[in-house]
Amino acid sequence: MTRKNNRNRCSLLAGLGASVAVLAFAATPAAAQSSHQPALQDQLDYVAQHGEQTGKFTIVPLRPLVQVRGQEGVVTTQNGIYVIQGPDGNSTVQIGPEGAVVVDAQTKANTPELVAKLKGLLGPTIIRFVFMTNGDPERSGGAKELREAGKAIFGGNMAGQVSDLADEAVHMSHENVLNRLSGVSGDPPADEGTWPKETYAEEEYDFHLNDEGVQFFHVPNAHTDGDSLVFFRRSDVIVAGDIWDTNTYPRIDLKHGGSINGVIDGLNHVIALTIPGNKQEGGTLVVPGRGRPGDEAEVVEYRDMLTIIRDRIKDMADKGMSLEQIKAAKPSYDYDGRFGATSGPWTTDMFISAVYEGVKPQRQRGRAAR
Amino acid sequence: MKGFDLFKRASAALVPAAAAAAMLAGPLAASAQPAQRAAADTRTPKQAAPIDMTGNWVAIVNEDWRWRMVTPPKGDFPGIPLTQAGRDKANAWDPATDGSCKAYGVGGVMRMPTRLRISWVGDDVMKVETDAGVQTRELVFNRDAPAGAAPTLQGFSKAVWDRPNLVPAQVAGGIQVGNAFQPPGGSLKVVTTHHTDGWVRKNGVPYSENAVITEYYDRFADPTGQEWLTVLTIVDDPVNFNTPFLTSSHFKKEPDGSKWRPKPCKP
Amino acid sequence: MGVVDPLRLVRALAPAAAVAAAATAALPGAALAAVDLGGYYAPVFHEDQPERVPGPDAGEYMGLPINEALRERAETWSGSLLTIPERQCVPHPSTYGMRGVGNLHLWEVRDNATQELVKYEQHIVWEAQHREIWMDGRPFPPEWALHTWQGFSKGHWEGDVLVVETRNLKPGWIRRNGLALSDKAHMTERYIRHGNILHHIYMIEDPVYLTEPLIKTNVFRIMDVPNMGAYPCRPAIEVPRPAGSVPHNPFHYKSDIEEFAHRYNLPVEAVEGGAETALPEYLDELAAKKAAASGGSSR
Repeated sequence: MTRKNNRNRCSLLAGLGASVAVLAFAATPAAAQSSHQPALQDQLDYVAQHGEQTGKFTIVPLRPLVQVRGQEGVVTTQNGIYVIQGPDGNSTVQIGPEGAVVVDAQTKANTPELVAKLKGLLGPTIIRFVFMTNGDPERSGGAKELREAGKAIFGGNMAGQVSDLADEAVHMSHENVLNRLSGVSGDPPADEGTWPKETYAEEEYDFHLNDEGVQFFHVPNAHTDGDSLVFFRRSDVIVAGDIWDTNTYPRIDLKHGGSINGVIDGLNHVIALTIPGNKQEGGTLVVPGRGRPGDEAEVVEYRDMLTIIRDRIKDMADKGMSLEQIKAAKPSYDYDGRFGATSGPWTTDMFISAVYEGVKPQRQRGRAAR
Repeated sequence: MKGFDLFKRASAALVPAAAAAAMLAGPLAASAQPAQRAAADTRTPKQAAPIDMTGNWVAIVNEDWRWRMVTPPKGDFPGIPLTQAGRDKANAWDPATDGSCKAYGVGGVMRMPTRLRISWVGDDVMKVETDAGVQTRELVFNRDAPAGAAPTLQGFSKAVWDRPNLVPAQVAGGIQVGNAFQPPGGSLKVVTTHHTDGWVRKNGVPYSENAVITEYYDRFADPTGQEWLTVLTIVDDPVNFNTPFLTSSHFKKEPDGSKWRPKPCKP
Repeated sequence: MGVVDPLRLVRALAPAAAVAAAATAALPGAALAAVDLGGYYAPVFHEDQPERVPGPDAGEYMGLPINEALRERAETWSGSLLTIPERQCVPHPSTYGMRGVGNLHLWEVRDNATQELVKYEQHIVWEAQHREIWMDGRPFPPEWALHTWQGFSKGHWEGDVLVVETRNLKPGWIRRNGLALSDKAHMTERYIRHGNILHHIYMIEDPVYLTEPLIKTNVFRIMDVPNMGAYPCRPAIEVPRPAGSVPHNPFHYKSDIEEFAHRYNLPVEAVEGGAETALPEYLDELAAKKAAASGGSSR
């Protein structure tokens, strides 16, 4: 055997030995991708990478940030949409190259922790825009803390001259939210920090940020009279606010203009906007005010349930049954096991009462609920 | 030299070691080995039972409810793959014979809303009693039907433990790195012949005396810990069925026989 | 000259191969199954054919462990609900799919490098129900993860029985006549191969709608000639209705149950279902109760 052959033999073995190392390294089971549920797979990949963050605030990735290498080798970041589940409900954040849009704060007490969680998620990204889907304390209470954590995009002729506008994020809601919080509509004024600094009064308002259109749709007289849907068009995510709750029946705030018919109309609006993926799954994702996000099929299920309960109560009311008689008939008991409650801030009893107010015959309507 | 140059190129391409060795080892790879069986088992069938079927069981009738819990009308047998001969016989059924023991023969008794009492008789016969129809079956290990035996309603049931295939030894790169082993568990397989004709349904859907009736019994616990017994029944009767007739019945374990309620059938 | 002796090379490689094999054997969920469940199967409808193929009657609930809430939901259900566009292309959830129509294809997916079984994939033709049964020990997703029609399934072997647990289900059903399941349902299945027969057993728990686990058993036969087809679906407006219409029956609608009971000469109480209706003694006890009540209704 020649020295040359010895070297060749050693090279072969060395090469194959290296292959063993590759084999051992590669021997962890492949994260075989699911090609049939891409939105779910994104979530599972995120959990695999970051772990599940439980506790007071949970980050739920809907469209986690990805970097995409284009044809010319340019890397772009596709916008990320995350839901942060907190003790007061869901806050939603869109993250992109121009900054972040945050939909809904928490109460004033819980928002500082929300801000801390956001900063961990956002890294150097700046909060540019803060939007509240309604005027509840759980949505607007921490608005000041949230917008002060950000900074609007401001420049041009007014650069350096209107410092207060540039020192914080834009804060916007429907006009009825401002009317409520400022006391115009009759409530005692709330902390001025919660008042939106910009409002819209039309059926719809839109703007463009982070390479996608963002639409606000007013949902009249639903949870309240100041509700909005937020539609991130390219990300294909709708923030439904409190017209959808995957834990309980929807809270209907009669005092502030809420009604069951408005909630159902709002859900129908969501369903009109959503486009599901194949076999009625995935596609447009929807964020409830509380609870886990879902897709069109689950909004449809919720809409159907509310329509059936509303119709039952209306039918009983039309027959002259009193509210107490209607409650005794338990018109929602086939859904109470999933969405009902006998205690807490929103019970089945309160829900039935609220629905009744919205459907009782005109002759039984005294003064308006407000 | 040429042959060795080819090997060099292969290694340079970082062919995984196992694959490379497998290529070279060739016949040492175990991928094409047929299923193997363990060495002969000298234990008695009772000792060797991979599942314990003994005890008291109750049928949970949530499938074919209106064909099992009550006697359906004559001619009501959707889904059963009857031949024309089988259909003719079923349509000729006399409702006055409702309750006949023919419905409680081996081809239909496990489908009845019944309780079971299962026990060992010695080490190689398992006895299955039903309170519906008051029937007794014997599942016999290691023996064939006696020559010349007269057919009976329950026939002769030959039983065998049906265990999983032996898992072959693990091989990597042509080298054996683990031992073959016998996975736990298994089913009871029962083949019944030497029976008289009977009905698979209370309303006279027939099976002939020549049917071969094969059953597989499986036992498991559900997530709550409740024990279950399932019986897959295959009635292979070309006279009456144009494909083997398949049903699957499930039984829940009961703590005792306190709910045993014998209801005899009509001979 | 320069030709490598294969046997010497094999002996030289043995330590490396042993390292690789040890690494493989130490992996979680190394699936050493005694049977391959893969294949093309046709469902066998010798049991419950009317329910599973053309479809169950409205009001047919005998033998099922449903509670009062589910009974009411099912009584409210109207078949017309299936005509609304958002419902037309919904596949069977995994809690029903194995009961329904459609050939089944089950196949292994193995890691190329380690040959470890990573998952089974399962496809049922009707409405293209596609599932993945993960065999590599990965954890269930969090509760907040998207719920799907087929859910998230994990499998493990118990001998030669494939045991599959499924969570994260969308609200589904156990029968196609309004017997719904909530999104809190879990399912455990057992796949058992006996010769050319696949014996499928499933158990469903739903704390919202079932009083005890529902067990069902299904049978499939291996197909000599595979026959799978596509199942595209796009909704269409077939019944014009005002937007947002939800067809449903009135509250406490009993007509379907009563009609079914009358048609098949069954007691209404039995047709209403409940765990007790699955027991052998049920009808005798019902008759005795009625006799004791001098013929009055026991409900």
